[in-house]
Amino acid sequence: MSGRTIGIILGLGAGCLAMGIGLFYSLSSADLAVQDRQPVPFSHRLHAGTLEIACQFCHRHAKYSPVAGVPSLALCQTCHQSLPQTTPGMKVLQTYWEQKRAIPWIRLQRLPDHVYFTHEMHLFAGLTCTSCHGNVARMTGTPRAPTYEMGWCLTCHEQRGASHDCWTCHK
Amino acid sequence: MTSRPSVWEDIPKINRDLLAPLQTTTWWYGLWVGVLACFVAAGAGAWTYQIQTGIGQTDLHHPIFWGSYIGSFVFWIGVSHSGTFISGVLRLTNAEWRRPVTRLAELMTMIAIMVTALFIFYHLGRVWRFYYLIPYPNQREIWPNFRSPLMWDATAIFTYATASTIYIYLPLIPDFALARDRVQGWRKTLYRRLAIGWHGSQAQWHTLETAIRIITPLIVMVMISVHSIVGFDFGMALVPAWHSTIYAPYFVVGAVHSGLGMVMIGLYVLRKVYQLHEYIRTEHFEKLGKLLLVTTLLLAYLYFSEQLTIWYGNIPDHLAIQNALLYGTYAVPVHGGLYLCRPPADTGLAWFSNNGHWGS
Amino acid sequence: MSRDPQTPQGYSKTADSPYKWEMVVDLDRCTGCEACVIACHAENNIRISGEEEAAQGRAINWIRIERYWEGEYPDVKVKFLPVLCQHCDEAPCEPVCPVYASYHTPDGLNAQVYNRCIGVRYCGNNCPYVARQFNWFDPHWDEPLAEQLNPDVSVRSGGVMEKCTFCVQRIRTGKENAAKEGRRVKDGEITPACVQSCPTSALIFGDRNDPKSRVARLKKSERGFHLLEHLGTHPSVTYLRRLAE
Repeated sequence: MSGRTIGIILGLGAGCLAMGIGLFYSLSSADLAVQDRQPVPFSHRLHAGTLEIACQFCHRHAKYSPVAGVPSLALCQTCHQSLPQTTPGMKVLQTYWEQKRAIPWIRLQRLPDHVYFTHEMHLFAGLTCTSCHGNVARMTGTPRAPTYEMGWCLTCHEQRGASHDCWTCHK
Repeated sequence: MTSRPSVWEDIPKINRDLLAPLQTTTWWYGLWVGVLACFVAAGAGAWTYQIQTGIGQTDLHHPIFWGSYIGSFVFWIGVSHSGTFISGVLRLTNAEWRRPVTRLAELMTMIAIMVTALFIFYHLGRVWRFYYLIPYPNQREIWPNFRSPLMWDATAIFTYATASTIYIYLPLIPDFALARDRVQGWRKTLYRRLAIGWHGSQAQWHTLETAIRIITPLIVMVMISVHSIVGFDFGMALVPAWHSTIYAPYFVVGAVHSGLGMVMIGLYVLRKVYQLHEYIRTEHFEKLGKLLLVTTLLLAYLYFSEQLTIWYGNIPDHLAIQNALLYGTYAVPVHGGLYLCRPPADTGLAWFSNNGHWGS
Repeated sequence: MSRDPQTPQGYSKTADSPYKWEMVVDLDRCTGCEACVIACHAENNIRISGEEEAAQGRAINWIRIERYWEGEYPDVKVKFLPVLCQHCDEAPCEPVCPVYASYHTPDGLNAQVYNRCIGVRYCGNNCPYVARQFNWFDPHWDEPLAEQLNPDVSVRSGGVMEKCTFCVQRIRTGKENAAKEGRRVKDGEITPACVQSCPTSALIFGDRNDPKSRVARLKKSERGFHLLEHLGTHPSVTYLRRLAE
């Protein structure tokens, strides 16, 4: 094989590698899915989809505070205590309840320290949960959030005529 | 100007002499490369340390947040002006004696400008975010601020680096061809690529000379504007004693001045090490010495008028700085280093070279 | 040409916002107690510098009390001057920032966006009030002090310029509360930490565009002046001269 051929192969290989990494990054799937396996196999598809429970029934702080909040185990139990433990997931839930332990949910959505974000004002402006979080009612295992890069926020702010001032969202 | 007899018959000898370092490498060359590599490694280590621990390692503090890095930046961009000035201005004025010194001067330009660029990075508080300075379409939808003198500066330096690369490359094409015909191995491939098919025909010479004629006045203009803009970094600021129109000409003259000095020292070393007495002659030191004398006097005048305008203007904030410089905290380094030593040292260098002391 | 600094109309960059936040500092009321300095440190997660850094002039204060002594002992008088970012309408720090980290908000605040800042430090050189402070190193809080950090204010890393924001986090909350109720922010509804903690009410904060606000009224006082007025920076902080000597 001539030097030229080797060079072309190496160049193409490096290019493909770079493209691959770029693609993974842009799809935000560079993280391993293993990290995102929740302690309780909770399904949004079942709760929000089939059972049609409103988002804010569980994430009840969203309308009144910056954070949406993850429901406490007690809130889960308001329904679950009267349900039979038919699935392994429900048994896991019951174990946590009996041991009086909080469920160590893995946080999937996180914004950096330099971002000021409030659920309250976004709901006030008429956004729905699905505008940013996607149609969770059809997701069995909730995937990691979109990357929430600045351009993503700006696109929506632009379309809806919201503020472009840096200090609206940066603190 | 002393004219030498026709050199046509000397050409094979010239080629042999000047390309000799390409053919042979001595042990001390390797040693020198090793020593310099150690310096680079030490510098890289120091920079890593600074990034890891914080920019506070520079020992700077408020209210003036700029220090040795910006000073070094200005110095190196100044040195980089030697090449363009010597080869550009002298080419424009048809000063034939410049020929042996231009290549060295242009190379110094290139190297100095690379060092200059490094100092921008050393200076940044969060260097890992340097790409905010680059104008490219990005998802954040923010561009750099072109109202900032620092952006003018970045643009100017990028332009200057590009232009001076072209400027050193064009006259190098025939020389790459010479080297191509004399070396073997991977270097032959390298020089063949760089010589882009040069075979020295009349038409090629004509094209090359036209190209050089076009780029020479352009690069002289770029050179003057670049250092004016470096001066603007200070002149545009509100800082007392910086906020002055004198900075642009001051910096241009100072740049040419330090560049000339650097070239003279470089020439001296090159001449001694490679035994190039036949090519780099006393005449060159004389001519460069005269130029150096002119810039020394110009600079001395600018030193004087800088202080004169502040003194005469009598604005309290500016005067406070002047007092600190001339009579106060900084009096010793300013008087000792700048006023007492520099003009005499530079005039001395000019006189020294002009009297043929470096001739032997 | 002279522009009246009291009425910089046609000068305002705040056309697209109903608010223009300004402060009035009544020097006649300032006792130099430095409560504002402490409150500011607590509210804004300002790094703890320690003795050594303070001696090097690297201690960070968004608001400082300058002391001026007059006369010879024992007949000596001291005057206090609280100095903070003046949020100039024509801020010298803004045009020089190469990355727009320093810019003017529609509310007329002079903003510093920490996550945009790359630390060229030109703005710091160019601030005639020396209000801009640089983080030479990463900040550090001993445990459990890190637990008391204000979540509404980012912790600035090393290599970043910072300064007074007029407690923008409080302004933001105030504006959001008003927006939800569909009204303007009321006078006195928003108080930066320094204003809130001043025991003599020497500091007054408010919206200049509201003609009935205390700031708008006090600004017109005959005692009013600005720091380094001749530079034409049009500060948003108005000082009121001391009355009696």
